[in-house]
Amino acid sequence: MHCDQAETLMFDYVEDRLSHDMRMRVGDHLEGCASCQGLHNGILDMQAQARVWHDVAPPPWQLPRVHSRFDLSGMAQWFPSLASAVALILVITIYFQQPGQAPLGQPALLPSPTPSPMANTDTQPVLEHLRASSRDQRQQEMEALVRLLKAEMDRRSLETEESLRYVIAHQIQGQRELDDLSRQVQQINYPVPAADTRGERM
Amino acid sequence: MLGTASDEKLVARALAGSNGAWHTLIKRYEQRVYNYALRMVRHPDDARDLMQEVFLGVYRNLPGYRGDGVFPAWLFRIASYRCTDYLRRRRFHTSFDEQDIGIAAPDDPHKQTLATHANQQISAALAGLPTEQRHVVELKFFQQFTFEDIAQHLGISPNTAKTRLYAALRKLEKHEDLRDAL
Repeated sequence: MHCDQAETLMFDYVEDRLSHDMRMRVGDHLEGCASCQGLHNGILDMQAQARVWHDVAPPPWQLPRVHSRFDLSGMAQWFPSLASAVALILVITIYFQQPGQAPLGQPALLPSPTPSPMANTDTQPVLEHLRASSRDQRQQEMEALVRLLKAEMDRRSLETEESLRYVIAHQIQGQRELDDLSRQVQQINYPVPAADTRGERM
Repeated sequence: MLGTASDEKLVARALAGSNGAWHTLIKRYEQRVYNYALRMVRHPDDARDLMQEVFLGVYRNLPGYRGDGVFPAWLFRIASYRCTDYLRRRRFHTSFDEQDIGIAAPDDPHKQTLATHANQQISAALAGLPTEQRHVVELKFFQQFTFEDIAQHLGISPNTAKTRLYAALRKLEKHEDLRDAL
């Protein structure tokens, strides 16, 4: 018997499913073949290891987590979190999208902001995808989302800064104009006497 | 009784909308799937993730279960797909926390220590195998499937399954941890 034949029959040999004659032939081959003997021992060892494996019970909190993916009571558990997340993202998006209506308010002089890329993002598919993905994937995607949010906030901060400078510059210019106007009004109401002027010159 | 119903009956009831039947089905297989996952991915957190993915896959594919085969075989076919996908996606924990594979029943500390040790040695040895070989070892030795079943699960021929198994055994032969586990 050759090694390839013995290997083909090895499991049947170990599980005692061969005829007596075939069993004898495989046994004879094993006695003279170190390679097949190693394989035979490997099968026996692995069978023994499968027996010594101690079944571990899943953690008690695992069951509700698994079930929660499928039934309505589970949906009731994650739905508030999802709704809160969607609401938060919507609030942030609306806040940055409409600075003119923000609580702090901004002057009408401000240039109208360019549309936010986040405002065009439909958050629902993203959140659905996040929910369906694995823990690591969720973490990566959440990090990506946070980075996007930070970048957006940075961009908005720069825009706000520019807007403030614009306001300040206009306020300064407006103040100058106001001062000029004030001086003109004072000159009209309280004209400087000509004699005094002459007297001073003397 | 729901608790003693066959898998096929539970599947039929679950498909008809019975949450109880579905939960019974999960309860019946969760430990087996969890331990399968533990041997395949080693880390309990990953095993829990994988277990959830397996049951999610089972749930999604349940309408396609024709009931013409044995339910565990069908379930582990999904588990194999999910596991392969999972291993492909995730980066492995390079350092293995010795405390990670714990034993749930702490009634006898000595037995627990031995069992934990054995599980760790076996997991460590299996982790050294390529994924496709690990699948075959798992299905043959731990799930007791035939080569025909394994071949069907993995979409390969029975001979290829056997070749992969022998290649795995020759690698494991050199693994000292396995000897310690016995």
